[in-house]
Amino acid sequence: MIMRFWGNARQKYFCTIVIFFVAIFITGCARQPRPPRILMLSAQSDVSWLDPAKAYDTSSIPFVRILYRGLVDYGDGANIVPAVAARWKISPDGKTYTFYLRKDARFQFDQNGNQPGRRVTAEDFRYSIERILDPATASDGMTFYYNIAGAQKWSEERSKPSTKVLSDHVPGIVVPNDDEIIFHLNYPDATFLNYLAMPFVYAVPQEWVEKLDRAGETLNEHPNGCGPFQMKEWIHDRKLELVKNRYYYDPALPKCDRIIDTFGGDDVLHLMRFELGDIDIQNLEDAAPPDFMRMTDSAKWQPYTQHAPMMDIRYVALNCEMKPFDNKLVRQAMNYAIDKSTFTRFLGKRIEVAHGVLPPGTPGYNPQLKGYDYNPQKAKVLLKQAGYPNGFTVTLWYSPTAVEWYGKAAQLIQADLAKVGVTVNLKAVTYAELKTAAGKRHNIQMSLMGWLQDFPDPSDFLDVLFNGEKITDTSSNNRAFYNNPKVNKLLDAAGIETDQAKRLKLYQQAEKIIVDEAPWIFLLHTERYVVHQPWIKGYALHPMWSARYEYVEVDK
Amino acid sequence: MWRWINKVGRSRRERRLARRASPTFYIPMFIELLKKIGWAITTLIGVSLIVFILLYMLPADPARTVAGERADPATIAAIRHQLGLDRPLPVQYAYFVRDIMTNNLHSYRNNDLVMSAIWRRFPATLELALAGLAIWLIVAIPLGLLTAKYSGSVFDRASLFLGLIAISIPAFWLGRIFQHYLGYQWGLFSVGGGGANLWSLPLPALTLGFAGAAYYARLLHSNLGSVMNQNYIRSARARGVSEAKVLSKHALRNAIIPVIAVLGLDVASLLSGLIFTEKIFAWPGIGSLAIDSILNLDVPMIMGTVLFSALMVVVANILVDVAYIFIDPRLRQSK
Repeated sequence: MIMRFWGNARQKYFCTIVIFFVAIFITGCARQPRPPRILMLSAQSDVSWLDPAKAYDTSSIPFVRILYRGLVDYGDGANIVPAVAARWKISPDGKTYTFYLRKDARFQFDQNGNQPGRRVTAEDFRYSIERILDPATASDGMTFYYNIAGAQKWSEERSKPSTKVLSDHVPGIVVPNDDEIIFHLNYPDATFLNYLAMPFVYAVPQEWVEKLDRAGETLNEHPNGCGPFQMKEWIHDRKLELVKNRYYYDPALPKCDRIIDTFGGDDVLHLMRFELGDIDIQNLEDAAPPDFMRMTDSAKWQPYTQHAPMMDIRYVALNCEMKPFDNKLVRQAMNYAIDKSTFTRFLGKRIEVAHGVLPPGTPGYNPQLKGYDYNPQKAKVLLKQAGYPNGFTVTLWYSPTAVEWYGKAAQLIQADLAKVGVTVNLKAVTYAELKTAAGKRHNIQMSLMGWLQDFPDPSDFLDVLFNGEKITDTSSNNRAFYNNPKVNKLLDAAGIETDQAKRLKLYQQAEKIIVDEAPWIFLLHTERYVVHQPWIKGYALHPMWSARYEYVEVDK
Repeated sequence: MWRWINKVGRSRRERRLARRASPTFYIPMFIELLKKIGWAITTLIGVSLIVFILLYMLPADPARTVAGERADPATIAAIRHQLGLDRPLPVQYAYFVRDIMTNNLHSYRNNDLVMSAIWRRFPATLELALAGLAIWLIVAIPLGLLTAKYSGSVFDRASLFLGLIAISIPAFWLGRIFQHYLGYQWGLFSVGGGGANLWSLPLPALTLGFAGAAYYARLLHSNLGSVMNQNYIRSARARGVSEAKVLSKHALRNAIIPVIAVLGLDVASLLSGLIFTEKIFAWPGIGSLAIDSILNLDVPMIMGTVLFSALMVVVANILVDVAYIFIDPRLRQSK
C-alpha cells in the first residue's frame, strides 16, 4: 500500500512537471499574430506626459503633437505653416501677432465624453497659454512666453500669496472674437512663431480640464485635443494605443488607423522585435556598434534606413570662472588636445565632428567655421604659454545614465588630455546630480554635457548657453559661465532683430567669438538613424519632430 | 500500530487535536506574531528614515529635474516650494509619512500616484516570481532528493558541476542567450516586449528559474546529507521503511526547514522586482520601475519602491516564522 502511494505521488510529480513544461512550450510556440494595418512602435520607457503643458521630453512630444494641435506647426522642414490658425499677420514693428482661426477644428470629445466635441476657438488658445503661465500648472514651458506683454507679471502674481484681486487674463493676449487672437509682445521676437509651434500651447478645452480637476482626474490621463489621433487606451508602463480621430479637420490625415506603442526593454530587444516584424519603426541612435553596423550595411535594410542630423551639440563645458579655465589659452589647448575622430570607435557614422556650436541644418549654421583640429603639440605650447608647462589636474563630471556612450567619451577625453600632461579624474554621477552641479556657480571645472534644440533657431543654442546676462547662481544653462559683454550685446541685438538675414549674421559673429574663446571643448553633433519595415510608407525624419506619425501609412 | 492507547483511553493524536482545539493553545503564538509585527513596523520606519536622509543628502536638486532644462531660478524655486523641498527635513519627512499613509504620494516625473504605480506593476512581478518559484521547486526538490539518494555517484557529481555553472552565470547574460537563441534565432518563445502576458512569460521565468533551481537543489542536497545521518533515519530504516519514503517523508521534512528560511527571503526579493530579468525582457514589474525612478531622481517613487521591498522582506520573515511553526512540530511544542 505504501509503495503504491509512493508510486502515485511520483507519477503526480512527473505529470506536473510534464504539464508545466508542455504548457510553457505551447504558450511560447504560439507566436502572437501581428494586428494588421496598425502602426506598431516600442519604447524603452512609458510616455511621461500626455498633457501638453507638461510635455517637454522625447517620449511625450511625438504623441502630444498628434493628440492636440496648435495655432501653427512645422512644415516638411523648419518652416512654420498654419495649423488651427488658417493665417496670421505680423505688425511692421514685429510686436503684434494676429491669428485667424479655421472654423472646422473640433475637440475630440464634448464635456460628457461624446464625439465630436465643440469647435476650437481663440478663447481655448488664450486659456492654454494662461494655463502654462500659471505656476500651479508647473509647466516647463512657462518662460518661453514671458515676452507676451504682462505675461511674466501675471505669472509672478500667482506664485506668491496675495490678497489683491488678480487680473483674469494676461493683458498681452486679446481675443476679439472666436476666430481671432492677438498677441502683443514686449519686444520684437523672430522666434515667437517657433514658441507657438511648441506643444506647450496646443489647444485644450477649459471646461474639460476643470471638470477633470473637480473629479480629481487629470488631462494627462484623459487627453482631449483636436489632433489627428485620439487616445483609446493607456496602460501605464505597458502600452499606449491611439486611434484615428474621424473628426480631424484634414480628412486626408491620419494615414493609419491605429498606433500601438509598447514600453520596456532595451535596444537589443527592440531590434530583435523589429527584425521579427513585431514593430515597424526602429531607432538606431543608441544601438550597440555591431548592431548599428549590421543594420546600416545590410542590403536588406539599407533601402528602409533614413538618417538626418539630430540638431544637437555634445560638449565639455570649461568653467571660465574657475582656474585653470579662466585662461583662454588653456581652453584652446583643451580643444586642440582632443582627437574627436576617435569617437567613431563607438558611434560609427552617427557623428559629425563639431567645429562650432550650431549643428548643420540650423538656420545660421556657418560652414566656414574651422574650429579646432587635433594638434597635441600646439596644445602643449599653449599650455606652456599659459603657465602650465607640466599640466594640471582636473575633474571631469559626466553622467553615463544620461547617454550611454558618455562613459566611453569621458575615457577618451581622459586619455587624450593625459598626452598633453593634463590629469583628468572622472566623476560619474546621475544626470540629476550633474545638472545641479554644473548649473551651480564656482562649483565644478569640467562637465560633459549635451544640448538638443527646442526649435530650429540659433538663439536656442547661443542665447541660452552663452549669454552672460542669463547666468544664475544655482541653475544656469550657461554651464561654462562664459560672460563676454561683446557677445552678450550681439546676442541681445539678434534677439530683437526681425530681419532674418541680419539676425543670422549677428549670431554668426557671436558664434565666431565664442569658438575663438573656447568656453567649451566642441566635441560633436550626432546623426539620427532610423530603420522601418518595407510595408511602412510616408515615414520621413523631420528636423524638428522626431516623428510625424499622422503621415505614416501601414501597407500590411 | 500508530494508534497507541494511553491510560485514559485517548490516543496521542486525539490528545493533540484536543489541545489544538483549546483557545489558549494559540495565545502564545498570537503574542509572538504581534511582537513580530511590531518589529516589522519599527523596521519599516527605520528603513524609511534612512532612505529619506540618504536621498536628502544627495547633491542633486529634484526641483531642477522636474523643472526641465529651460526653467529660470524663479520657476525652480516655485517648484521647490510646491514640492515642499524648501521646508526643514523633519517637516518634509512628516509630509512624506502623511502622504504615504493617505495614498497621496505623487511621482516627480509624471505626477503618477506612487502606490498606484507600484500596485499596477505588482501583478507582473508576482506572475514572474511565481513562475520562477515554480521552476525552482519543481526542479530543485526532485533533483535534491535524487542527488541525495545517489550521493557520490557520477550523477551527483555531474549535477553538482552543472549546478555550480548554473549558479555562476549572471542573469543578464543567460537571459540574453535565451532571448537570442530560443526567441530570436529559433523562434520557440517570445523574445519579450509584449507586456506581462503568458506568451512572454517562459523566457524570463526560465532565466530566473535556472540559477535558483540549481541553488536550491544543492541546498536541499546538503541538508539531506546531514539529516540522513540522524538516528531517527536509521531507526526508520531499521523499521523497514522504504528508502523512497525515508527520503521523501522523514528526511525531506527536516531538510527543507532551512531551505524555507532562505526561500522566504528570496521570494521577498523576487516580489521586490528583478532588475536585470525585467529589463532584458521588458517585463513591466517593480524592478524596472525602481531603476527608472533612481535614474530620474524621482524621490517619492524611490521611497515607494524601497519601502515596498522592505515590506516584502518583513512580511516574508513573518510568514517564514509562521511556516516554521506548522512544519516543525518541535517549535509548536516549545511555544
